[in-house]
Amino acid sequence: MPGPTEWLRGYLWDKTIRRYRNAATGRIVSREKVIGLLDQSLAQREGRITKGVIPFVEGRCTRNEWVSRTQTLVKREYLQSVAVARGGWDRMTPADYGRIGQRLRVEYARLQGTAQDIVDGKCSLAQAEQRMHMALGRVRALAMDVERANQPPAPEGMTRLERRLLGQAEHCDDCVNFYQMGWQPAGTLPSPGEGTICNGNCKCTLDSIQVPSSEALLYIGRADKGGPLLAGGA
Amino acid sequence: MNRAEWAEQRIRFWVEQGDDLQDAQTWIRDVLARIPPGADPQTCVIPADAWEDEAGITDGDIADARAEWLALAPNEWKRLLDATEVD
Repeated sequence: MPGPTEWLRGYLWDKTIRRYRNAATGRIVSREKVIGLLDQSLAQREGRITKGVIPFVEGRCTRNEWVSRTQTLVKREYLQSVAVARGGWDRMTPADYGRIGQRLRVEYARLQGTAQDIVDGKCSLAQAEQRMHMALGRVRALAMDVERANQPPAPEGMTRLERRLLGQAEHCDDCVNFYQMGWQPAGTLPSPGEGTICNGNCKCTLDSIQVPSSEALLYIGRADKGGPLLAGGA
Repeated sequence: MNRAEWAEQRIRFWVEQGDDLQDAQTWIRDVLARIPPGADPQTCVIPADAWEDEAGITDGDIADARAEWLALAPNEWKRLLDATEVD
């Protein structure tokens, strides 16, 4: 159990390796930890948003209230998730806010559609909850994309490779296909949640390594160097 | 029921649902800001285009998101997003 001083310890953003460090110990916060934190935040948000769907479906709150509340909660999740992926509030750029705003315009239009469907009796509680789940999945997808774009460039003579890792979920065919591609040059695979039929349900992550450029071909199409041959590898 | 009474009743409702008081005030304030004068907030439906400006990010939105992170993130991670940049 951490003590109060640990609870409030600060963090640094190491701009060379683009990772968080614990200010007290200097230790790097792993990508897995950061993505885990992101997923935890999304799960918590989903619980709060879902709690608001019930009174709307049951006619205990107005459409306006539901829209207002849900829009604000979704917006906050976008801001926080992208800030986590970017390296903190101070690394957020006008372009990041612009990108979030673009996404929100689309999400808000979807939300209006859901509100109308609920009023018209075309959307059950379960369907509304699923739509909220998908909306938050799209927040995750943007955060994963930002985190990926935030990776430092590979040093001279090195190549960055990425591979899809399947998360704790039922996997769609697209994600399985990307997983089976093994290591690929950075940028080849789409970010999790992008370009797959699972859309906002995606729980995948992208793993990333830097290898000597002369050895990169040994990795392509494999789960890892020397690991089992997956698809299309030599 | 006038607007003030309606707002009070609705804020109380959301607080009873488990929302933070300040958040509940935000939801209701944003609704009332879009309801035409004289309209009944219980029945008036705000058209979708009246919410469009909400997609923009203001300094207030960022401040609210920061405050919420500090309030809800696990203690160990509360200060993560205030990380200082180092080489």
